[in-house]
Amino acid sequence: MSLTIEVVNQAADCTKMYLIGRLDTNTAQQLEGIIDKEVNEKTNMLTFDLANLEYISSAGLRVLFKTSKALKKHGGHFGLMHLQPQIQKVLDIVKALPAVPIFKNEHEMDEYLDAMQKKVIDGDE
Amino acid sequence: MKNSLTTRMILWVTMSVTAIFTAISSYDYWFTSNLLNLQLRQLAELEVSASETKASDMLDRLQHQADLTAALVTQISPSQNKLESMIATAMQQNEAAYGMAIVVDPNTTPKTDHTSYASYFFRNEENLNFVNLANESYNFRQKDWYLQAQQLESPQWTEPYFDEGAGDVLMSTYLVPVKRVDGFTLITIDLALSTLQKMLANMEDKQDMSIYAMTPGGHIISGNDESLMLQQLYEIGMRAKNTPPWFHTLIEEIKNRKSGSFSTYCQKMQEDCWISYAPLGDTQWTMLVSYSHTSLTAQLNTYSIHRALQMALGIMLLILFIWAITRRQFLPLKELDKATQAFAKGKLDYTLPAAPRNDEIGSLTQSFSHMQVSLQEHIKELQQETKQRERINSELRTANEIQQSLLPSDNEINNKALGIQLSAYLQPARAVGGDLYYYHIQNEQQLHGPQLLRFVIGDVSDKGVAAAIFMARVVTAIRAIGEQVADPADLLTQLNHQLVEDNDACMFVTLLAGTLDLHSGELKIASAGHPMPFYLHEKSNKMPLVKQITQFNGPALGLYGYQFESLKMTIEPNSYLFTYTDGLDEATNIHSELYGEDNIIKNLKANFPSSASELISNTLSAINQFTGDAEPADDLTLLAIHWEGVKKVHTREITIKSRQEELEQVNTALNEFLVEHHLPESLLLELQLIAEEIMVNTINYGYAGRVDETISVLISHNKSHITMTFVDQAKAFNPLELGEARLGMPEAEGAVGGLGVHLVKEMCDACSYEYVAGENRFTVKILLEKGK
Repeated sequence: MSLTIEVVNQAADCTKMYLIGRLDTNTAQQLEGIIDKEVNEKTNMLTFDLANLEYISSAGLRVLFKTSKALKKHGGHFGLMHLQPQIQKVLDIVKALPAVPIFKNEHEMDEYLDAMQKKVIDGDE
Repeated sequence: MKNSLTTRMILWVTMSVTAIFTAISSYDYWFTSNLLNLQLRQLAELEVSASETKASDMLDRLQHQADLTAALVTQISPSQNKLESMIATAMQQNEAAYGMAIVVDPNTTPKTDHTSYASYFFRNEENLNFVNLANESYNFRQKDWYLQAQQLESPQWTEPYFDEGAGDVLMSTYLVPVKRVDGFTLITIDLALSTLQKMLANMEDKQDMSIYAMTPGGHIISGNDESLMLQQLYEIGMRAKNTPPWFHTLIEEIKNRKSGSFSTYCQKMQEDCWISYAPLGDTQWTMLVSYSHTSLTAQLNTYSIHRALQMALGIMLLILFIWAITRRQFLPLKELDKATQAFAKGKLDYTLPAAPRNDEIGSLTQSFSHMQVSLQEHIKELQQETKQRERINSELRTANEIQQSLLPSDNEINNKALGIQLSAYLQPARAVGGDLYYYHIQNEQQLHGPQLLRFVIGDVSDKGVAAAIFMARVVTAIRAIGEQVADPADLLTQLNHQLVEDNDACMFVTLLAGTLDLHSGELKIASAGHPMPFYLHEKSNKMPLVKQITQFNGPALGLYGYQFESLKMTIEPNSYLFTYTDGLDEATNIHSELYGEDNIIKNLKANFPSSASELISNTLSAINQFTGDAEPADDLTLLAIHWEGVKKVHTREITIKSRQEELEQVNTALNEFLVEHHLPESLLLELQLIAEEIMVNTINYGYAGRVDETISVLISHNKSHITMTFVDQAKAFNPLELGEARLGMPEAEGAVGGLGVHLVKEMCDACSYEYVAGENRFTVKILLEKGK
């Protein structure tokens, strides 16, 4: 089993990645490489769609943490969606991502993004 | 050439001729040497008698001279002057005489003393000297010879003496006493020994012999032999350490004035010699002659050497002639020999020599010529036949290969996981045969579903090519139908249906078909006129159980439609099934005895096998021992199945190298373990996560990135939970003592390792760690309940 990553650039600063398969010690570096290539300081929003992610280990979690941290540094946003029960369970155990917004579907994410947008605009005012 | 006829002929002829020649020559040598010896002896005796004559003649003449003078003195009594002149004249006439004396002694007749005188004439070189012996200084009356003469009745020779003062040489004197009335008168004549010696030496020179004269008293006068000069014969004999036996005879013979000869060993010559003796005329003297054998045999030897040389030359010439003749005679034979050698090497077109003569060799050559032609024709026929046979054989080989390819490619199954072993053996009686077998494991690679071993063994009627073609038809049909039907009876019924159609040749096949469920051991068997298999099971008391499964037999296939039925039974784990064709039970030995089923059972009981292939090899060696050199009459096929029963593996161990890539193997092993043991697959991801976290930790931190270390995982389960034990040889490290990860603070990089351990701790239902014998042992248990 391996990991397949599909990258969709929804807007210039908004990227979505579909992770399909297993995110473990052997595939974590593969994801890291893609993120280094696709995500930069201009990225405002990065979302991982985990609908087809079967498995995640601590090595996979580490990549997610690292990415979240990198985005936050320049004010970007990071989100996860469509978590499968076994993935949810791992996340529950480590209680690692309380600050990461998790969306059940596209609609929730859009709402979240709108709110963020509004917050930014309000903040500017 | 060493063993050629010519050589042997020369050898034998030469040997025979040499033998004959040698025999003839030996006889010739013996005969000739006898003859020659005789002649030489006669010649030598002739020489001896010539010497005798010469010596006796000389002595006789001296005696005669003295006797004559004495007679004159007696009868006419001449005066002193007259006598002296007579003696002087006699001396001149007889050169052998050294000296002569006349002694007239008046003392014997005292009346006439004035007439006494002693006159002596002797030679001094060429002159005749005179001495008056009656002088004061000589005083003849005191001389031995005179004293001796006075005693004599008749004339006699003195022994040798040196006449000092008168003759002054060594001499022997012939004394002739004359007794007259007027007194004693004595006539003497001297023989100087040197004269005799010279004569003897002269005679010796002519012959290879030694000549001796002997005085009446036994003193020896020799020619050239100084050693015996003046020796006394009798004293020589007495002086010798070992007196020869002939010595006394010789003395006696000489005394009796006899002549003779004998052979003896002569010390002087150091060889065998011939001694001859004879009295010298009327004198008292004796002559002795000795001559050597060598001088006689030397001539014989020369003759023999000439003879031998002649013979050698003769034999050499003979060899040369025989060689030339046989060579010429055997030349055609040699040519014939060359030709036959060429035949032997296969050169049948070699030209034979022309038959030269109408003799045995000519006839032999003609026979060979006939043989050559016949052989050429025969070989041509043979080549054609061979070519044809080769073509048929080649076709049969191809047919055999095709037939082999119709059978399962591997003649055995050995699947440990399924606990099944199968071994098959097929030996056609001819190049191709009518026996067949087939087997197949259904779902062999599958993890689910029933796993069935199908097996078929069969025997087509008849054998050879026809049987082989029908066999091909049967096997093809079995492969086609076999996969579709589950019950062997259905297989037989459908197969029969196919074979009955278009079977004008009325070929048929006996067949046994079966299926064995590798999980349950359920056996289904159906037979179409084929012997049922033997069932072998080792009972707990170690007594093997061997019995033939009994079942109603349907008819052979290919004859008429029939609905077959299967026998169902369950066999014990670790049991054998043994099937065969009639090549086994109907095998015959040279006494035409059948092997029979009883022998099959006996052999199976005697040698309970430890594997299917051993069962086959045991049976083969038993049948080979039984048949011996007998030709196999029928095709022979054996099929043995050993079912151990499926082993339920409750544990599994996997060992990997300390590399992240090898984790995949552990993932696969975990997956297989759950499937094989029918455990909830929902637990898979959890088990994989735990395994990954622990092993990655060991690889990265425990072994610090060294990639050739090992990590083992022992997976097991019982009714309530799955246990995984991780074992490594890294430095002692207890993950459970690692501090809690800073939860909720994902950004903390340093907490990542701890995060994995935290995940493990949270997920497992029980964790434990121990460090034993240099090994880290980390055990995790997961409850099965969770997966449901």
